[in-house]
Amino acid sequence: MTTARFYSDSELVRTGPNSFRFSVAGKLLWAVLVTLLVSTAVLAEDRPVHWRHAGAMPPGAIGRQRLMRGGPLSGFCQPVEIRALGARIAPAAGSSFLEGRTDRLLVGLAIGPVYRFRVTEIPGQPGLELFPTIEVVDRLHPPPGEMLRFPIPIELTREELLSAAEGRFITRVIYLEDPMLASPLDEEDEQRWVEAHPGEDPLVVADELGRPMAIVRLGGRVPDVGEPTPGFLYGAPPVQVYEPLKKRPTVEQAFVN
Amino acid sequence: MLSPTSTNSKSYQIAGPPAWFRYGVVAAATLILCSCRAAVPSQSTVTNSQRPAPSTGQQEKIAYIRDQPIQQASHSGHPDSNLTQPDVVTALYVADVNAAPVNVEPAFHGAECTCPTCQVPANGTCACESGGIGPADEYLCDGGDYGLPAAVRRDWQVDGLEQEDTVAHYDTVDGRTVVTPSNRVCIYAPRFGVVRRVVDLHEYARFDMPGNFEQQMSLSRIDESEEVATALNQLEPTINRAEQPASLLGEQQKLGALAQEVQLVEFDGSLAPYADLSIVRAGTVSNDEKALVAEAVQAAITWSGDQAAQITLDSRKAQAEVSLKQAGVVYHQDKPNNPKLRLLKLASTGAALPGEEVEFTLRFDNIGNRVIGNVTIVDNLTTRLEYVPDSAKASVDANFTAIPNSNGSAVMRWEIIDPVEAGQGGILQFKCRVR
Repeated sequence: MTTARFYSDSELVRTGPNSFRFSVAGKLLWAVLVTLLVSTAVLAEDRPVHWRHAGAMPPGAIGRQRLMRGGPLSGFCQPVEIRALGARIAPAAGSSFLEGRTDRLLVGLAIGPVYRFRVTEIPGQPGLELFPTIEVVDRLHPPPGEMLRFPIPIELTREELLSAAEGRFITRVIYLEDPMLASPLDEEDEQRWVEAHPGEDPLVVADELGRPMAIVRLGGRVPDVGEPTPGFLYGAPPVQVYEPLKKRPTVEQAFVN
Repeated sequence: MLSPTSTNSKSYQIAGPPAWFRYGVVAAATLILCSCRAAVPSQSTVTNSQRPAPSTGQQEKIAYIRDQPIQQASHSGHPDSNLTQPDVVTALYVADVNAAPVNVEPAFHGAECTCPTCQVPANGTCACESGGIGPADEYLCDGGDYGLPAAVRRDWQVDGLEQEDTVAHYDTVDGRTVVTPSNRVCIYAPRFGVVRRVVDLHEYARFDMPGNFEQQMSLSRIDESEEVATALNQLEPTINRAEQPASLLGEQQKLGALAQEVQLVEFDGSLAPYADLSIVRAGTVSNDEKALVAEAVQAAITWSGDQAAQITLDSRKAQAEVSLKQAGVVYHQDKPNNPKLRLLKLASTGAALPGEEVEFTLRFDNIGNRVIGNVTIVDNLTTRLEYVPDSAKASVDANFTAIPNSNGSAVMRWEIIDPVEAGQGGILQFKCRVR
C-alpha cells in the first residue's frame, strides 16, 4: 500500500504534482521495459531456422524469405547436380525444355526462383515424362576454384519417379549435414534419406539435422496440351548448364605422374 | 481507492498496482530470461587464424585435472624452477626488419567481417564472394584443444580429449607434465542428407445420374502411424548368497578399450609436396615458405627462424609476442630451463569429397632449451575421418596405437620412445578417408 498525500498549492510548486505517481508506476514501467529489451537480445541468439516456413508453402516462398534474411545470396549461382540414373534430365528454357543430359546434369541455380525440369527416358518406362521442381534455399562456400566440384547433390530415384507417376507427391529437402551430428557411415552410391513421420514437416526436420539447402517437389502434374504455360514453368528463370567435371586424380597419382 | 489516514492532514493511501500485476510481471520476466540458451563459444565460422587458441602449439598448460595437479614440480630452490607460463600466444618472428607483426586476430568473429564484398547476415556468419572461408558446417576440422582442456592422468590416460582434439604431452626435467595442443586444420568436405515425405493424393468423382447427383471425395492423405509398443519384462535379481558369495572380481572396461598396436611403417624420408617444407623437414622455416605454410595450416601464424633476432635485451636474443589480449608487441627472453614443444599439423588438401583420402602430417619440435621426455602425441579424429589402417608413419621410434573412440572413428596415439633434445624433433604421418 502506498501512502500519498494531497499537496497544497504552495507545496505543488516545490515537489510537482505527479512525483508520487512516478515513484511507483514508473519503476514498474522501467522494469518491464528493461525486461523486454533483455529478452529481445536473448531471443536473438537463437539459431536462425525456417520456423514455420513449412514444406507446404508454395514453391518459391521459402527461397525468397531466405533472401530476406540477408547474406551474399542474391544473384549467386549455386551449382546443383541432378542425378537420375538412366533418365534424361532437361531444364526449362523459354517456353520449352532444353535437350538436357542423361544420368547427371550439372547446373547453376539462383536462390529464390523455382526451376522446372523434365525427366524422360526413364528405364523401363518409355514415354513417361515427369516435371519436378527445384528450389534452392541456401548456398555453399567452397574454396576458390572448387565451386563445381562441390555442388548440391539432388537424386531422383527410380522408385520416386514411379511413385510420382502413380499420383503421389514427393517432397525432398536436401540439407547440409552438421559435422558434429554426422553418422559414422560411408557415403554410398545412393543418397541417404530419412522419411519424415506423418504430420512432420520435412523442412523442420531438416533444420534440426543441419542446414536446408534445396527443396525438390515431384508429382504427377504435367503441362497442358501444347506448350507449357509460363506459370507451369515458373517463368523459366535462366539456368547455367555446366560441363560434367572429370574425376580429379589423387595426391599419389599426381605425385607419381 | 483513497482512504483518509489521518484527520490532521489531507493524506490518503493510494493503492498501488494490484498484486496479480506485480506477480505477473515477475513471472513473465523469469520465463523470458530462463528461456535463453547458455552462451557457448560456438564454432560458427572457420577463420584464417581460427579462434584465439594456440596455432603452433606454443601455448602450454600445466597438466591439471579436477583442481588437482597431477605432478608437483620439485622446487629445488633455484629461482628458475618456479616458472610461470606466459599467458599469451607466442609469435616468433622471421627476421625481417621492415615487416610488421602479423595480425593474429581472427578474420571473423561474431558479426565482424573483413571481406569487403560480403554482407553480414543476422546469424553472424560471413561468406565472401571470393570463396573465402565460410560456415563451419561445411568443413571437417582436426587439431587444437577446444572445449574442456586436455589433461593427463597418472596412468597416462588423457582426459578432456574431445572430438577433433590433437595434443601432445611431455615430461620436463623438473618433473612437470605439460600439455601442448596443435594448430587446427580444416578441410572443406560438405556432406548432404535428405528428408523425404511422400503424400498420396486421391480424388474421386462419381456421377450417379446425369446432372442430378454428384459425389466428390476430397483429397486425402495416407498417414501411416505405428503406435509405440512397449514390452515390459520384469526380471528380478536373484542372489543366492548361500551357494555363491558376492564376487569380488571387478572388471572395468572403458569405452573403446580395444587397442591395436601396430608397427609403424618406416619413414622413408620422402614427403609429399604439401609437406615438403623446411619447417617439416628440419623444424625451421624461411620467409618464402611462410605463405605455403599458412595455406596448409589455415592459420595466420608466424614462425621462428634460424636468423638473428631484431631485438636484443641485455645482449641476448629476444622474442616478440603478440596476443589478442594485449596491444602492441612485447619482447621477452627465454628463461633457462624453459621446455617447450611445438606441434604443427598439416593436411594434404584443403578440400575433399566423401571417399577421398587425406594425409595429415604432424611435426613436433623441442623449441625449448631443455630435454623433454615421454613425449606423447594424441589425436582424436572426428566422426567423418576414418583412419586408414597401416598408414601411420614416423621418423622417430614410437609406439603407435589406434583405439576406436565413441564417435565411430579412432584415437591415435604416438609414444615417442627416446627423449627429445632441445632443437630436435620428428615427423608423424597418417592417412584418413573422408566419410
